[in-house]
Amino acid sequence: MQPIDAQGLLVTAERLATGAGRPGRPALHDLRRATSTAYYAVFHQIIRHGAFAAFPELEEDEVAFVARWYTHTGVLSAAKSVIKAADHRQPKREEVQRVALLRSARGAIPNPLLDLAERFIELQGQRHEADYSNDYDPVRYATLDHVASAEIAVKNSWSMWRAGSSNRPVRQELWDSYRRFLVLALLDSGGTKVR
Amino acid sequence: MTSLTTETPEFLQAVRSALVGQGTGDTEVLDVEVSQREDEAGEITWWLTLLLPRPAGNAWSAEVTGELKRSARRAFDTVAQDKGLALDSPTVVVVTTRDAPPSQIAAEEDLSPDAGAAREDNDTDEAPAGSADSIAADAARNGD
Repeated sequence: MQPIDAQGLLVTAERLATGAGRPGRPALHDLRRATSTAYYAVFHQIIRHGAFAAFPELEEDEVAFVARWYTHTGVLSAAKSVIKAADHRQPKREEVQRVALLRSARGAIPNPLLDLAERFIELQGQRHEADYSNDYDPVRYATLDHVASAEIAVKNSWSMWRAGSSNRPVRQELWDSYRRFLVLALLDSGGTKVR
Repeated sequence: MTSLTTETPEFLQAVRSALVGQGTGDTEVLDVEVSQREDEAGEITWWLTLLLPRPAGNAWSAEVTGELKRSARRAFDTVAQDKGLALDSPTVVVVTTRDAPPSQIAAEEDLSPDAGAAREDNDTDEAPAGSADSIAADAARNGD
């Protein structure tokens, strides 16, 4: 089994963004692929966690199968709800239940989850620019910010995942918020699929 | 994602007043560009590009730019709400610089339609097999 690994994707993204020490100006398509790969590192981490959260006993080949139930727009939709749940303004009536589902027992969104949602939404937008737009920003500093942002998002998601095996109430609450986000993302992706 | 609208000068001025000067050092906001774009779900979203100085080192701190983006988003959303221009989809905030040296900007590439083919077949002037040009050349050779 050779599962897709977020850390491996981040290494590739960084190599592309930095040019791996190659002298001269960066190659445009290296920067584009760096941004895209950085986004996919976060996406794959989330959908892998989502598969295990739904079915903890999964084998590796089954993880790949379940992870594909997640869609980019499904995760995006759940991430948007996290941001709305963290907002002090009253959510729209049709969003009240979703927002309530995401909030922890204390009625708040944990900072690592908000950070992950913000970075995911931004990276998905940047990935769209990198993969499809003629307006992609060809500045290496910006690309490096995408890669570094993805590294933080992956680290945050890993920390929230690990919180599930902690006995400390505050860590359990963090895991519970993350788990709710993963479930919502799966439902927003359309649930189970036959491929 | 394409820019969909041009905002009013008054709105842009209010946004600049709220955001320019936020941050410190190499993450101080020098200017801001505002557009509306369609996200992956087809929803229209505000897209803010914060223009920063070039980083002091090889890159900005992503922890610092993350905080900056969040505070910029909140400040922008307040302005948009005050002006009745708030959107349902969360605002996206990105950072870049207009102060990068050429060594940090990707070189422009040959964007002609057959640039890729030229790189692959740089030892011949013939058009790639199956291309419209090669079919036309074959037809000419065959007297068609």
